[in-house]
Amino acid sequence: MTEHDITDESHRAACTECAAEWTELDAISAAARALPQLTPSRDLWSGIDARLAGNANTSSSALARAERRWFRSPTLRMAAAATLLVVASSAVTWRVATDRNDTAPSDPANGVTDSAAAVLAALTEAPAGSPRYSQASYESDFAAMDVEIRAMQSLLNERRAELDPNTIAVLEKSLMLIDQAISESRSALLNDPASQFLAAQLARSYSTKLTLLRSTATMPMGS
Amino acid sequence: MTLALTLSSPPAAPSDDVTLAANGDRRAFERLYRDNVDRIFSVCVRMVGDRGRAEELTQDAFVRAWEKLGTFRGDSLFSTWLHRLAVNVVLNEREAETRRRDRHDDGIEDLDAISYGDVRPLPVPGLSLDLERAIATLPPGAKKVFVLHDVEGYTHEEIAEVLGVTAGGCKAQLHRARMLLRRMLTK
Repeated sequence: MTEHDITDESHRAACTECAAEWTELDAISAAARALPQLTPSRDLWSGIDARLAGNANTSSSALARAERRWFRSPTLRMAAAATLLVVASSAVTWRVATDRNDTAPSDPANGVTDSAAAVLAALTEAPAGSPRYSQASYESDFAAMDVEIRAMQSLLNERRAELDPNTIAVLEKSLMLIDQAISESRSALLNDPASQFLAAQLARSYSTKLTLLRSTATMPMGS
Repeated sequence: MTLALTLSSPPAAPSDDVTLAANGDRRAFERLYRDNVDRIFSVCVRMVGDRGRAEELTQDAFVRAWEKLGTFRGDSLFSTWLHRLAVNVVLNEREAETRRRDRHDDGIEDLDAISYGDVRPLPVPGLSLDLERAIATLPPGAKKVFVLHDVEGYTHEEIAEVLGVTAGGCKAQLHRARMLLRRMLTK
């Protein structure tokens, strides 16, 4: 113990100088406890969400390994991709059309219907007096598109080695920007879930992402 | 080093969003993020003294939380669990940084040797409070102890565990941090 041990309560009782110093230190502690919470200078969620999406792809690697046995040849992979697109997209498109009492806007010529485009049309082009495309429905459809996107991304992961590194780099950069737009639209929708405008914005981003993933997943080897 | 995640807070049933997020619902996890981001960012920025790095660490902490949600059993509040996980992320990152720089930074600096001339330029722009600025200029070890104890309310025993020092050493470090802050603030 030093001659002036400020931490010693009995010493402080006898030493006004140390007692005063202790009071000042107490005030600093009190001020520290009262410090306000700080806010990041930007929304960090988009970056987190993009990384979580990446993790989801990683965690689906077991599924990808199982699929690898079936997709040895590029031809089979592209055929599988096309089948996947027809099934997944048609399911969503059929639901949208059913909600609108409409006919599904599928394109029998190429066999691929664009689920995100169908959702977008339902949100923005519904004729006057037609049933409103409900929030519950489009949320369900976005969830279905998420499933489709994960499947396409798994397929792309399988094909990475076959594609030109420049193509992969451009794809990843584009996906990052689209994911950021999706994340921002989702955040805005959380605050205003009934907004058809925000839902349409989200559908546009989904449509862009699906188009990009589809075109890349079905590219010939070496592209 | 890993801070135990079960101390202090009373047991609480996981909220709906925690349960949903643990089952892979990213929207539920986003709601948890929005409820907690300021508190997590605050401890990160005060411990590292750099807003940009703190934003990266905040993101790291939430990604880690997502990965570990399956291990959250509700022994503490989710916010407490998340906060301690974030502290571990910051401390582990600082350990790695220290190894990279081959510089000793275990919280046991000789604070007596630190003069006002050693205080670096303020690294946290935009923080107007004098105390915030003074905390940001503390040496790393003193800053850790002060932020965890005086700002975040950790006990000496908890801090000693995570930093690998004794509780007595932690108390001495805290006292010296307070003294240094007092000198800075009354300069």
